[in-house]
Amino acid sequence: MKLYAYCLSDEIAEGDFENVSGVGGARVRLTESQGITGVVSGFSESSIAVTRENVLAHERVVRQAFRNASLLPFRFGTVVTESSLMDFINAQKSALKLQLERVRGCVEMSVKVVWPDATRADGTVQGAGGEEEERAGSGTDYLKKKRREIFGDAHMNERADEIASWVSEKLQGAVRYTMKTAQPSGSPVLALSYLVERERVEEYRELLNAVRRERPHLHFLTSGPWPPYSFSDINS
Amino acid sequence: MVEDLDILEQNELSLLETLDHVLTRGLVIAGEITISVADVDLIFVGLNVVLTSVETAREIIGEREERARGLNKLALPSGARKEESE
Repeated sequence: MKLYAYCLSDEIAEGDFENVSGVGGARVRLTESQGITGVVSGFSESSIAVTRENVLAHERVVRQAFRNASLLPFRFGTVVTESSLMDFINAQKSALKLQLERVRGCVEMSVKVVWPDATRADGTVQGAGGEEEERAGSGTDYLKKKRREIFGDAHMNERADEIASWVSEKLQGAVRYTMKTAQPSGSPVLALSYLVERERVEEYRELLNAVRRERPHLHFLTSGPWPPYSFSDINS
Repeated sequence: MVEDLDILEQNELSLLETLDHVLTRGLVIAGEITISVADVDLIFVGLNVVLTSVETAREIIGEREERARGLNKLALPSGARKEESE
């Protein structure tokens, strides 16, 4: 019998999951080794489909555990045998304990920043004065276009780094750890994740509001609190 | 969970944000991720979720700005609108 694994914790007690069903409606249970408890449910399929229902079931169980405990959530789709889960816990015990200490008492807050795009969708870049560079249709123009794409990306990356540093500096008073979680190449979008102590979430929000007021031309999409998905990778 | 957006946008973005977190982040046991999406290469599914998430955010913001610009135009006095169209 395989298990679907939701998260690991060293703070979870029995009985927290009586009213929550897992993926496929399965009963959620606990399994423990070396002081680390795995939250799991039975799973009989060979793979798990990425459906809204399954994703939300995963998130529901992790959130239930997260109400009263610090934890490391597994990525969606982690299907293991009982013995392979025990082997993993035993082999990675030190790293897991270290990571659990790192996230203890904390939630993850996410920020996506979108900024006005100086690079056009067709790859052309506006000059410093706002004038568009000349268009033409030869091999030279192809090379020019490639150059514009490359320098456009470099410019975009510089801008992303500057914004990430600025936001993180402003929030650092309320944040324990920061992680840049995504910066799609060539897109004026940046995703940041912050590990924030539960009791400092309001302070974090106030600082974030000040950040938004300071640069009103930037768009912010904020979400949270989340279980610490971005801070669970023991290899990071 | 997602702040500062109206209800419809919140629902759409909440699911995308959930997918972004659940599918692309979290603790991994090597070789133990076994998901399926109708025969699609699953690596691309994960990448697409991230890109879809940020692209959708951009589109929603763009649409919202368009709506705001439309409302601003409507709010202009008739004389100003006439001047603009000339």
